[in-house]
Amino acid sequence: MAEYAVEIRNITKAFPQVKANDQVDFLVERGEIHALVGENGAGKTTLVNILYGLLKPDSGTVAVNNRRLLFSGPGEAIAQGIGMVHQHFMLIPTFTVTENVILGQEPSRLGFVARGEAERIVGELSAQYGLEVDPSARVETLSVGLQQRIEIIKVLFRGARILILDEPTAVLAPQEVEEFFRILRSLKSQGKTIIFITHKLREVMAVSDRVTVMRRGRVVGSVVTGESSTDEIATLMVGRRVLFRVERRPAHPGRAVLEVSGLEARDNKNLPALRRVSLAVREGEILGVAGVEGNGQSELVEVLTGLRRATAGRIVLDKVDITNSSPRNIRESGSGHIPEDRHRRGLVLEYSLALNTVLGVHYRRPFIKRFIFQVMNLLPIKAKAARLIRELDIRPPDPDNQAGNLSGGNQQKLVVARELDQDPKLLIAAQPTRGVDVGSIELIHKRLIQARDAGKAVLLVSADLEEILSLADRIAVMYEGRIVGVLEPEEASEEKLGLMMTGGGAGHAGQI
Amino acid sequence: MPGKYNWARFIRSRLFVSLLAPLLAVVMAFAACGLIILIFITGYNLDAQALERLNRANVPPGIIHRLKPLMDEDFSQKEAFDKELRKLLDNQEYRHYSAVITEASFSRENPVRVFNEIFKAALKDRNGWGNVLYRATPLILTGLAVALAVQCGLFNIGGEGQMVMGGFAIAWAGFSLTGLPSFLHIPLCILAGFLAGALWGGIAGYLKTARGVHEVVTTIMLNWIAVALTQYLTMAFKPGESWIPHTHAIADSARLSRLWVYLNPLGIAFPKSNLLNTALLLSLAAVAAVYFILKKTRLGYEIKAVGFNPSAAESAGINVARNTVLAMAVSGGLAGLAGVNQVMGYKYRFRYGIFESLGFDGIGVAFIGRNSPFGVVLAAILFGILDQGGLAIDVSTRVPREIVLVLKAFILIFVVLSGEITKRMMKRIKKQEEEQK
Repeated sequence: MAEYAVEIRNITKAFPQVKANDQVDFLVERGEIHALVGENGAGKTTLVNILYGLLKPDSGTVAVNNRRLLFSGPGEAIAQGIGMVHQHFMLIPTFTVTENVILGQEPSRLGFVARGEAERIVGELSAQYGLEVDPSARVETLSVGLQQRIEIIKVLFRGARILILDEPTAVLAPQEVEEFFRILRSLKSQGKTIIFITHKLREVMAVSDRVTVMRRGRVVGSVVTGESSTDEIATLMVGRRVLFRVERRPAHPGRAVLEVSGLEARDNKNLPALRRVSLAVREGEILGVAGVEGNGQSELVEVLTGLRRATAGRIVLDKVDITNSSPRNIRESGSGHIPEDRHRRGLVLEYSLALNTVLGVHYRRPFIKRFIFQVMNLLPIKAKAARLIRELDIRPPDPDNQAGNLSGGNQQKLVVARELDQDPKLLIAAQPTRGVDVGSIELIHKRLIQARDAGKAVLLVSADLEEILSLADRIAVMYEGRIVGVLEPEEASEEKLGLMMTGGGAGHAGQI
Repeated sequence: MPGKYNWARFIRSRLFVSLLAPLLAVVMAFAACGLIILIFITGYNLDAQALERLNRANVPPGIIHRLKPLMDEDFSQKEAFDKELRKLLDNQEYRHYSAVITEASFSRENPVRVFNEIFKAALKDRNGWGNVLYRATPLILTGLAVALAVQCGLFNIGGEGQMVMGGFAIAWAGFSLTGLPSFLHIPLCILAGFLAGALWGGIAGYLKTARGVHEVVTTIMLNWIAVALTQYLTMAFKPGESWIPHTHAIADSARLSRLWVYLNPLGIAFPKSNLLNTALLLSLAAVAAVYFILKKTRLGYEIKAVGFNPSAAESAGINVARNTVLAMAVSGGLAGLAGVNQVMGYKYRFRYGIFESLGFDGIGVAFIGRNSPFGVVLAAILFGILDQGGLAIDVSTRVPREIVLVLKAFILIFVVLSGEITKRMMKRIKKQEEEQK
């Protein structure tokens, strides 16, 4: 029987909206590299935060090196030799490597920081694990890859024997990833245990000994990497659920409404997020964009709606070039947008339902009464709200109620109703049913199909494969900012899509 | 049920909370200030009570008689009182009785009396009321400026700078344009004040949208630039013979009438020294205009959308940058209008002294008024009462008038506190109701 470094049994942790961990068992053997994979929101981060003592579970037990944790805080976990390397570095740029490493645990001599000794220790750690970091370099002069190594030295300096790495490769360039794997192996060879969170299957296959897959707060499988395949893990990760097919007639696509060619953009960290994306959406069809979140879908939607600058490429909406046009102009050209985060982008929660139903069209007649003072005309605004409330069965049906008082499903219906009511030529729907109850999902799906049948072009971006498969007339798969393939629904299976989404597929890259 | 008055519902209503929180804060501030007065304000006064005490302490009547010249004279320093005693008594008597006399005369200030003096001076007659409103007039505008900016999610600390820029522009338009009729000259001066303030506020708005500099930083810096700049300009436009640093006087056609001019003929007696002038009407008009803009117009809808949720506003095609600059400019313009009262209604000249700290007080006024236009009026009147009443306590009590500054500061602190308390109260009430369901 193998010795467990970490033994998590039966952990349940519920947040007000969602059960983040549901009876999770997670076992890590001593001296292995254990990959923890799953889509965003699958509960990985919650699980490691419980292990690290940042969160207290509702029930269940955690044992480290056969000693049960009392969930008193991170201090306890650190004392047991757990070290966490966060996705976002916590370094002081103007300090040297050594100063950052010893911060909070400075070795001292007669009340002074023993700088020489500290540097010697840091140098030794660096050499021992092949980290190749100069202890006296200033952090701000170092590359992201090197900064990550400082984070690793930090936890080693504090005596960590079990390292938790939260999506460590997200910030790294491909060459840096190779280097990083070399370091992981070196750590392992010297007896460290590593828990490695990721959603990139290629990395899982390349470096891990075992894989635990989470989905929707549950552990759906734990396998030895060598005995498994990318296929199997992808299927586990994405899930094989009963498809909830929406009734619909075959599509009759017409001419292209949205044409995107060679689109490139950068994300908030100024890293390339879109790489030569080209696609077209025709009237009367739903083009689904599938992909594991964080592969450029959000940026694609933002560029298409004018919220993010394109660094290259062209966007044409119904023969009008709207590249880097303002959101107002793009809306005026006939584009509707259901944003992926309705709280941040879709609604003004402090406004009433009525005022939210005109957001984006509030400057048009009849919502403006007198033109000189531009007085808002509440009567037609309320009438519109009442109509949309009736059409989409929004509850409670009170136009004066604050949008923030509605449930998530009703808020989303409000956004969907508003965007469709503008009668756009193109509807961009990003995660239209995220966090929405089943009844509302059905209604929103029906509306999207109706819009398609009415001849609108619909671009559906969703991390929910089931949704994509049941709605889309064609499916584009995004991986690392590229469209790696376009499939007809008939040739698309969850397995195949899952593989392409995680970079494992041999999908034909490029044009649609 | 219609017509039925429901307490629970009233307590939950926003109106109740928005009234309760500042009220609670004012009460707490007075209590805290009272404590300070009780502890720190002491003095020596040989009043009737003190004489009674001396009698009971068996001090010979001859000595008490000799103390008569000191009767009811107030000393805040023990040394001063002691010195007087030495003058009135011979050495032996002094050695024997000075300690007893000093102890008997020791007294503390009664805070209730002090507060009473403040309110009495401010509100006891029409003159007091008039001057309270006169003092509230610029505060309404500077408070309104802050409140409007907050609606757009901006924290405009630059009221002071925008106000003096506006004030100087008003004075400049007042003394450099001559020969105009009043009905032209007055609106021109007002416009100049608004535009100068708007320019100053707009700069901060532009720097925020174009360069990403936070408005708190830029407005604070622009304050001092404005103060220094106007002081420099004051010297440049100083009447040659004047030894006071103020500008030329504005033309008669740019001066606003005091309200007694209109009220006295109506039989409402106002002393001619009363400073209340028609600028008050401008302030109230500004309140109405801001209320109208925020509540009824497209501009208000967009400004508030940007204030509540800039991301959603941007998504909906609302130009966040344009609204930010616009809100800062209008906010600055409102602050600039404060100069109408100070220059056109009061001094008829520009001098920084007549403006000092009115812009900063506007932050407090907006805060206590919970950033609502009407709340700002009430808060400005409160500050007006304190400012006006504070003048009286210097004369009638031992407490220096700076206590009013302490009082204002306490009110601000407690507004934050009571806001939190009432919020929690609301939460608890809501929770209880949900549990009952």
